[in-house]
Amino acid sequence: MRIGSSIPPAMVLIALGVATATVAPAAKAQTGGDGFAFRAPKVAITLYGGFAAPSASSDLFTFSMRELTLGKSDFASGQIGGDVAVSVGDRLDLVVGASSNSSSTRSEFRDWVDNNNLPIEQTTYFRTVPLTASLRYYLTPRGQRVGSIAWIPRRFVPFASLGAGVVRYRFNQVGDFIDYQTLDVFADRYESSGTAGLLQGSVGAGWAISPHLQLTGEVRYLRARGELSSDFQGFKPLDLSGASSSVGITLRF
Amino acid sequence: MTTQRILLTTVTTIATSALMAAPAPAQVVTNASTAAPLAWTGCWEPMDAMPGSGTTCIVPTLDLGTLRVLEVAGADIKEVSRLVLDGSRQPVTTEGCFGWESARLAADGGRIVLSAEVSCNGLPAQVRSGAFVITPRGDWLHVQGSGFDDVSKARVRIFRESTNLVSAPEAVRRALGPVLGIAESTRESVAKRTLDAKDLLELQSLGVATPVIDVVVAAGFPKTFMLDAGGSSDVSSVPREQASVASAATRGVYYPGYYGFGYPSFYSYGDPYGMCSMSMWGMYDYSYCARTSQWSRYGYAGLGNYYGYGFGSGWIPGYGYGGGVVVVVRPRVPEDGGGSVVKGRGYTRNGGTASTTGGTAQPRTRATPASVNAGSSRASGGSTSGSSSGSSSGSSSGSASSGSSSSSGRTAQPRKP
Repeated sequence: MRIGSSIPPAMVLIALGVATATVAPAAKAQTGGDGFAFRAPKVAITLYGGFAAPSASSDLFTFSMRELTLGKSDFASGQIGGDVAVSVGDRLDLVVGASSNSSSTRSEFRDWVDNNNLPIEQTTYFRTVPLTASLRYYLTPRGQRVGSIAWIPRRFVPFASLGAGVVRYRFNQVGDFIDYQTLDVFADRYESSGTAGLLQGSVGAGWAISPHLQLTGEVRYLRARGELSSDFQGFKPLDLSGASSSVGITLRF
Repeated sequence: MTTQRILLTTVTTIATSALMAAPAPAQVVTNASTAAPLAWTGCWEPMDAMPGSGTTCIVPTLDLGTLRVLEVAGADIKEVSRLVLDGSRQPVTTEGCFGWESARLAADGGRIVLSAEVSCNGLPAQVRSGAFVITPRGDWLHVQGSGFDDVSKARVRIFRESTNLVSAPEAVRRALGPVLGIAESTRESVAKRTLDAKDLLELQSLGVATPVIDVVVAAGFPKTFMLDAGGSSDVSSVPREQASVASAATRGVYYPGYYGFGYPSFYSYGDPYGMCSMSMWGMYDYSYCARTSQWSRYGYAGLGNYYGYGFGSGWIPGYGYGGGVVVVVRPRVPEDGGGSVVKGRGYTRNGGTASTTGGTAQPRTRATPASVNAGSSRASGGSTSGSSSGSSSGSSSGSASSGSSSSSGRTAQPRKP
């Protein structure tokens, strides 16, 4: 039984919308006119919400899904994140970003119940926080300069990016478990957390709402594996890879 | 009375005026949207005018699609140009120059875009572009660019509506009288229009030179940009990115409280060879002398001819006492609010009131673990250890320690199908 991620993406987007709606008019009054800015933006800040689907392909996941009423989709979660992009070329941005994906799923043993025929329940918590640095290349010009002081954003700008970084991760299971030697049911907590290197690629697009405001959609794939603690013995490194998709609001300055 | 009725009455009155000798086009336009050209109608005095200097009057024609530009000095009137606002090329043959000029009213009626290609004195034809803009305060800003985009400069003259039509020749008064009211309201309407991206793209598509576009943009945002003519005398030395302002010859005479706009000081920086000047859209343009005048390269040209007052042979009115000041656009420097960034205190506002944020952290409680192997098992009172294989980088930690997991007294049994 899934109890969901910590923050619903919809709430994040609503909050972002309110925040940007507050900020955007002020920015417009100072830095541009209707539909144009007085210069091409140099910095962009994006806040996004989305959905992350971990690959969950390592043997610890397999074991958990076999013993407990868990499926791959239970490790999927909402995602919140943000990044800061600094223009380093006409079509090139250096992007640093962070996101957070976490799932918390209640389950029970598939094949066992207790002596009162009640389910033996526990909760599995899985969280990843990737911190990345990427180069983002825009497949089309981001806008056009008219004269030397006016810049009009292009409505639709696709991009692709490659990057690397680290991912903080945490996997734990807490609740009731079975001692297969004695068939006793006991309460316990198993946890592993750490930091691992990652590689990341993404494709996305920006949809300019105004010169300073953009809707940004992106699909990312992250590849990483993390060591497990001694709570989990004999398992291969935890698969932290996965895909995610997000939609966010970008403020450009 | 509706605007359309006013317009119809207006043009009818104009048509019956015998003072404007040129025949008016037959088409009668009653669509109020065509009234935009009336924003420029009236008599205008250049801000840099010398005492007793002349006036430029713009009067409409019957179809409102053509404006007649008159030079008025005392009782003398001379039609120096017709601006046919449909973008058609009108032949130019004057002052030893020949070529064409065109004028087009912008789609939103907010400006008139001018272009020309003229060859003078046997020199290769050169492209010119310009614009008539009504500023937010209702003045007529006349911008003219010369040369190719990468080296071109913009010259600006600002005209203020003449408040003394009584002294104008009767012919002008009769031509303008019926339209003054609607011209005023149209001018106010045009002045309130803000430049948008569509307008900019239109300017670009019409081939308006970069510095002209810049001035048009700057004119629409006087709180952000200034047309300051008090900078370097060498426009070419000013990086375009800085958008700073340069002028060939200016003194500290500023456009009253608005653009911070300096005016030419009427020194005769003009054509040292006395052979290359011609007026375009109200400005003498010495850059036609590019091959002969060392001054034109630096934008000195077009400012001089102080002694040349008179009608000359203006193509479009140029009174000879000034061809506009060379400007580029400079962003206004924001006012210092007195705030500062203080180490250890963060951003402060005026008066030093620091704004800080903070929070508190609470320790996270952790349960005592056992370990998971092929199946779950309880720790037997000591810390568990183990190793896992893998090639990824990074570190990991677990919370296995005392192994004080508790038994609930429950036992497991197979789930019944």
